[in-house]
Amino acid sequence: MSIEDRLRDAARAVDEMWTSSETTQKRLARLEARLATEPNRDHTTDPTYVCVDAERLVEVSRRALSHSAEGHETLDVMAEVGQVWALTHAIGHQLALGEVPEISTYAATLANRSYTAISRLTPRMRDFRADQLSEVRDVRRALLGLQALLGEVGIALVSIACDTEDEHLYMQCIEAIDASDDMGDEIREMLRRFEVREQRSTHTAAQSTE
Amino acid sequence: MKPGAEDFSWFFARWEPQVRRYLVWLEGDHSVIDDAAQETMISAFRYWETVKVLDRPQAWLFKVAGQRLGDAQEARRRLGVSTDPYELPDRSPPGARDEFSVHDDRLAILEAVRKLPPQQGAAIGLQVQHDLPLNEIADIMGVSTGSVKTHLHHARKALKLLLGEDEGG
Repeated sequence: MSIEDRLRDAARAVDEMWTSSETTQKRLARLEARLATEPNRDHTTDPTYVCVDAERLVEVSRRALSHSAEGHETLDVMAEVGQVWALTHAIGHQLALGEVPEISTYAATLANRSYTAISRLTPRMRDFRADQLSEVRDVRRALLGLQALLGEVGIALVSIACDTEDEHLYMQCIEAIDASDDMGDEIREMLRRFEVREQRSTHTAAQSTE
Repeated sequence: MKPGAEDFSWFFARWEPQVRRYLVWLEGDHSVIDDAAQETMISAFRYWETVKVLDRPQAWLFKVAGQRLGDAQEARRRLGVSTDPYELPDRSPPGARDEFSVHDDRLAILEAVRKLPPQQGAAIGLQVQHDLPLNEIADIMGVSTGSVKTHLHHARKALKLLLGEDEGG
């Protein structure tokens, strides 16, 4: 039997897998159970909802990162790096779905990059303060704050990498620095596009008043 | 939208098995496929406003599934344990049957596909299992159509070598 025939046969066999609607429903129920444990951010149904803006969370994260770096506890710093990336993910996700089409693709990439980075560095971490994020009120200021915060993450990671003799930890830090740099690049491009958009709308507004 | 709302449930029932049918060409570990498929559908839920308006959501899903599979495989490597059901004794209760416990000779070639470089395996899985055109495969893999052709060519050549088959079949 030729390779092509064997591949086609295998595809038919795979088509016969996962066909039971009963087990599909069980997997959906598992996913629902997992989603149900995540914080409810819908203020229309949650009476305890408190509006938390991105800038506020950036500031909280900046202080926590600085505090952990002063303590020189590697695990604490790594946990705060995870927190910053989770915040990056949350902000990226909100902007990807937001009303600024010029940056939505970059925001989605940013969300994806940060998600992947968290999965690699702190796969078991679950309790993220970024889960409290409810809105990104001022996109430009939030992105500038996040960009600066990611810069501070890089500095904290460089300090750990320079101090350690553990090769595995060193490589982790280098990968994490690269990941933070990539996120920073994405934000820089978002800021540039946001700036162009703002200039264009100012120009349009000026023309309409003439 | 609440979890389990009708439109997402329909989407899940329609596409989650397709995601698995793509992943099984790239990974033989039941638990890793479970994790990657679940993470993919959670991403679909989180980006639901974007995903629900896509005409052909498979490109988005398979792209994300590839990333999530990489994450799940990396997590398994880091934890240093195999979750491969074939390596775990008495994992399932007697008489329990799932898709992986059903021995099917037709699936043997998947073992060879999983030994290929990931790009080649992905191209083969997308073409053979999901019958996608080259431009869609290129979009999912984030490469040019020419690169997809190259991956497919090398994949088939390598499979012939791995399976000890001559050109005539």
